[in-house]
Amino acid sequence: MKRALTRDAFAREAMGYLDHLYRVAVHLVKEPQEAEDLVQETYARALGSYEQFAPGSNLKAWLTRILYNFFFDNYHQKRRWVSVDDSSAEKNEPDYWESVPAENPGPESHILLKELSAKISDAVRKIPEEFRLPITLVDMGDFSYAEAAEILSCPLGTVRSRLSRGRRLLFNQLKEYVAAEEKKRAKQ
Amino acid sequence: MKCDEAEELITALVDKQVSDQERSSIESHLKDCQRCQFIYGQEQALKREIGAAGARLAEE
Repeated sequence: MKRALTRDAFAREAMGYLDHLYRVAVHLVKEPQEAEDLVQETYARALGSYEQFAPGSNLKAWLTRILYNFFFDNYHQKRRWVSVDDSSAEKNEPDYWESVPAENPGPESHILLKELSAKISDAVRKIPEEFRLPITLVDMGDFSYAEAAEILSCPLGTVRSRLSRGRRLLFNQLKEYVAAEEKKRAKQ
Repeated sequence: MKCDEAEELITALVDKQVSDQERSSIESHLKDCQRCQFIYGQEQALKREIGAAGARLAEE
């Protein structure tokens, strides 16, 4: 069994994950300042309960779980993991895979990367939370499905299915931008 | 494998979160299904752009 970290050692190690926490937070709340507050509070809470962290276990996941819980407690009044009426989600989802054009028209060429990032971030925030949280954790936070399932307190299969459907919802909104960026990338 | 059964496995393949058996099964389907090949390519591209957007926003 590994020895417990001192508070200072824990603080240093946790500090290394602040960028990661911000990357997750910025897609959970709307304003950058709110994301910073969320990260700051997460760090403070982690330091306050660092003795509960089992040395050798996954600190990134542990910190993200604190962030996620704080987000739900303070920015959100819903239960931690609400069940989704799958049929209602499907109703809002057009049969987009069939509707994807063979050639996307692409956005205006002058769209800046910053605007593209904002567009993608807005789209992520607009999809139902059940789909947004797994996408935030896996695509922005680089978590495995098992880690995301642990953080979200749901089965691994649920993470997989909601990621799949969430990405399809997102793709429907972003296909023109994604296609344009991919074309640019291919030319580079 | 039917295409609607393949969609979640395509997601997991994009994320490199498939078992060996699942990989074999979905890769076999992709070889024969142009529609799912297209979906696979699009989902890879989407994941790449979401990740890039997240990184850019975090740098601001």
